Amino acid sequence: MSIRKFEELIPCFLELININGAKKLSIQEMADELGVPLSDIETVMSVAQANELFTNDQDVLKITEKGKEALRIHREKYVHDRFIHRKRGIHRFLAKHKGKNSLDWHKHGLNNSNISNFYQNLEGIEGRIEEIIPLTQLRVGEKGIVQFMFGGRGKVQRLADMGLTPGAEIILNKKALLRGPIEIYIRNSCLAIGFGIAKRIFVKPIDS
Amino acid sequence: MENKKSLRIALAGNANVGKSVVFNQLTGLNQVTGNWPGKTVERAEGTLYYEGYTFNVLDLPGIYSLSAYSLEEVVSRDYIAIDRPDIIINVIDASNLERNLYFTVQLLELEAPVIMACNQMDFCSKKGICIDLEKLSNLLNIPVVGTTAISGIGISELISEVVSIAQGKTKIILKPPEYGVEIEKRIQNLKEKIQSNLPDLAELYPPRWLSIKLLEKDPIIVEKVQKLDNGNTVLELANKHVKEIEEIHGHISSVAIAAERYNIANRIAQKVQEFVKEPRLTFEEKLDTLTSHRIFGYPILIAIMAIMFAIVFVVGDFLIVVLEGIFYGALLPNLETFLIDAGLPPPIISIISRGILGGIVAGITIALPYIIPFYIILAFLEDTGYLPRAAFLMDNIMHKMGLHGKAFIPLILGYGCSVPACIGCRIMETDRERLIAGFVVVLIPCAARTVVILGLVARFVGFGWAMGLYLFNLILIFVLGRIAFKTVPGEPMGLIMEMPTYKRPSLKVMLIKTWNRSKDFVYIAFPLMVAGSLVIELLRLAGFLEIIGMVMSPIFVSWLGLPDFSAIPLVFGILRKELTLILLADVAGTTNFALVLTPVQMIVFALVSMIYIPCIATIGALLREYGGKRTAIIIIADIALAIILGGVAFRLLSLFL
Ligand SMILES: Nc1nc2c(ncn2[C@@H]2O[C@H](COP(=O)(O)OP(=O)(O)OP(=O)(O)O)[C@@H](O)[C@H]2O)c(=O)[nH]1
Ligand SMILES: [Mg+2]
Repeated sequence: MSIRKFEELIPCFLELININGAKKLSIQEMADELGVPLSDIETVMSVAQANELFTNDQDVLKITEKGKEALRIHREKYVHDRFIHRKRGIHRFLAKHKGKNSLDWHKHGLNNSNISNFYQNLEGIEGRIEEIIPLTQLRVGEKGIVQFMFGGRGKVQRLADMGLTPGAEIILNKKALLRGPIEIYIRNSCLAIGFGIAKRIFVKPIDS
Repeated sequence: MENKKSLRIALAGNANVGKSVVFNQLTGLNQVTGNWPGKTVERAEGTLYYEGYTFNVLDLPGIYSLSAYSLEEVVSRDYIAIDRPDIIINVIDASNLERNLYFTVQLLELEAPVIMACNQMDFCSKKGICIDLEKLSNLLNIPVVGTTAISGIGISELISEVVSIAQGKTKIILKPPEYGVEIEKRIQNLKEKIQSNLPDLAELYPPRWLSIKLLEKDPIIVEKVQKLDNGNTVLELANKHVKEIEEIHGHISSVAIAAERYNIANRIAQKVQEFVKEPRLTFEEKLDTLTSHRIFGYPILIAIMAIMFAIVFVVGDFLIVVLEGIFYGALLPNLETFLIDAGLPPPIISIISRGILGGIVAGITIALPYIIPFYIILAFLEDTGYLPRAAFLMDNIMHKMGLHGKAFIPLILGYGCSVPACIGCRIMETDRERLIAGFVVVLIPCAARTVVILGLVARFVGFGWAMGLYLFNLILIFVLGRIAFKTVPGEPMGLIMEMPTYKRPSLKVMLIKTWNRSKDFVYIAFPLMVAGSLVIELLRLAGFLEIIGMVMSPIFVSWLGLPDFSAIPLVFGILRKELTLILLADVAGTTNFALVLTPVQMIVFALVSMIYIPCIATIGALLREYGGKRTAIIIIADIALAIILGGVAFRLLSLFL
């Protein structure tokens, strides 16, 4: 197994333990959930356990404080890299090789209070972080549940006033060309939302 | 309220629910209506006299919440929350109950005397929704009247509800709906604190509402409280509760409260509405899919614009030929012989026939034939609901100018008249966006400038050249918009807009609208035309015409390549843009411009009058919206641009034509 895949799998595995709480999970079930072969899960488990990220008490898996911290960092980084500052092509390469992989929220006009609110939101998310995608990545006709919005106070409240509150169900109706606006169906009516705003609305896709 | 004979009534509600239609029904006035959110941007007043009462009715811009964002929304919020009318008529869109009730809940929190007009009942049943109005009234504890404002149904019931409140027959006992325990507990807590610490403020505003606003961290209320003596103790408690709410919900407090409010709205909506039939909207939906299609949408947009001008040109041209036949073929010569027979001296005959009558006739034969069809088509686009689709498609491109899609709506309205379009830029959220939008909107050729472009270029050079001018104008606007964006940089707010369903426009409404807009032309432009023609006729008789022409000739003749007599019409065009063409006919002594101008001269003339300066009325609107300095900059930039481009165009076009 390549090191990269491995790096990515541990946090996903921790997410899984975290949301399942005290429920027992067989290795097979975990492998299915994460979509990787059984052997990978076993390796991940042994490495994670060696690093004291979780404890195994008669097949009841429990996340440790250290594991929680790792999870928090993973969530932040996941959201940041994917939705806030997606480094592409050459920039991604440079960032990696200069070791500049730190999070740069501030470039995006987000102040400290936004960010601290956002961290709070991150902890409140139910389910695996990997299941959450920005609204712009929802496919046309797909349904999703709003998890949270990220942005300045005014913008977030405006969205909430228009009905985009956490827990609201939406259907993606249309996407305009390129990085154009999207149209969603929410609370019995249609809303058009610009790309810049939509990419900071986080939804969990659901099967209709 | 029993003994008051004069009451203030405000119409409040979400955007595009039909407030202005209700207003027009109540007062008999003519507020702009149309099918897109954000038409009314200023409050409008009218009066209704009924059974000895005088009701001052106010039409307000649409808002979704009492935390307002753009300039026009602040107008509404301030009026509702601070000025506090005697009665609020909450107009709602029955087919979109949940979103509309969200605002109603806020009005109830404000403990304002609310009557609900459940509007668009016809459209609601078309959507297959049935609403139990009585149940709604019981749940909200306020009178509810079902209306179909567009055809006047329910308006008289609405008036009698208002009167019965005025007479004190109906008493509204306000009972704002309660939130979930966690939040409600804290609201009550804070409310008591406010009542004991800030009794004066609690007199002015309902304390419960103040508590909610403090928990939402509403900047205006927080500031108000801060200024008061015991304000800080209250704020401390509020902040503590805000923290707690944020911890429980995991979202900022205002979002948590919005979510709770939507829960209330949703609960009420579920109880009173029933989906009884499949919606009968297949045609509208197909039309929507097609016109906002990610690829086909664009050619359709271009085709709509091109067809619009083509129709205006064809119809207008036909009308011009007919009208010219009537006036120049029969009426005018007969009148002239009549005046000569009456024995009047030749200078007076010339003043009457060329000055006064010439102006009127030129106005009728040159301007009206284009303006009226144009306004009809514009009304059609407005009332069907195409404009928000265009805004959706253009969002991307508008971002390149530091704006967002919504700005495209005033841009299209600018093809009608620059004044409302300029004021309509208030739908933009920030000052910066409003300025950029205003700057580009006045450059769009309005109906008056279309008269010049079609009446001169399309008629005598070719329709293709006229379309070329429109296209050039759009490119110019894009370039200038980008430059403006670079000069006043900043991040635009981004598009958030409700997309209304397509509606079948009513011919009557369209015609009334067209009449109201053309009326302006008749009342303001005609007197100006007559005055302008008279002045020119007098100048000609006094021999000043040549002198003025000579003075202006370095710019007009040498640089722009226009004949010397064209200077005067262009200067008069400041009053109204169609005057340039009408007075050109005056000074040239003919409406067959091909006799006096070359094709290149016609194009340059149209180009210059398209951009050189907004007319007086637009300058007034700019002054009011943006102040003297910015207006001066816009004017100077436009004049410089027109002269430079005109000269360049003259030299380039001379190579081809
Ligand atoms: N079918 C139907 N359409 C209506 C009714 N009332 C209003 N409309 C249409 O709804 C649209 C919006 O009406 P307006 O009165 O302009 O809306 P408004 O609430 O003033 O909107 P803003 O000024 O933008 O906030 C127009 O196209 C009207 O023709 C109604 O009772 N039935
Ligand atoms: Mg209105």
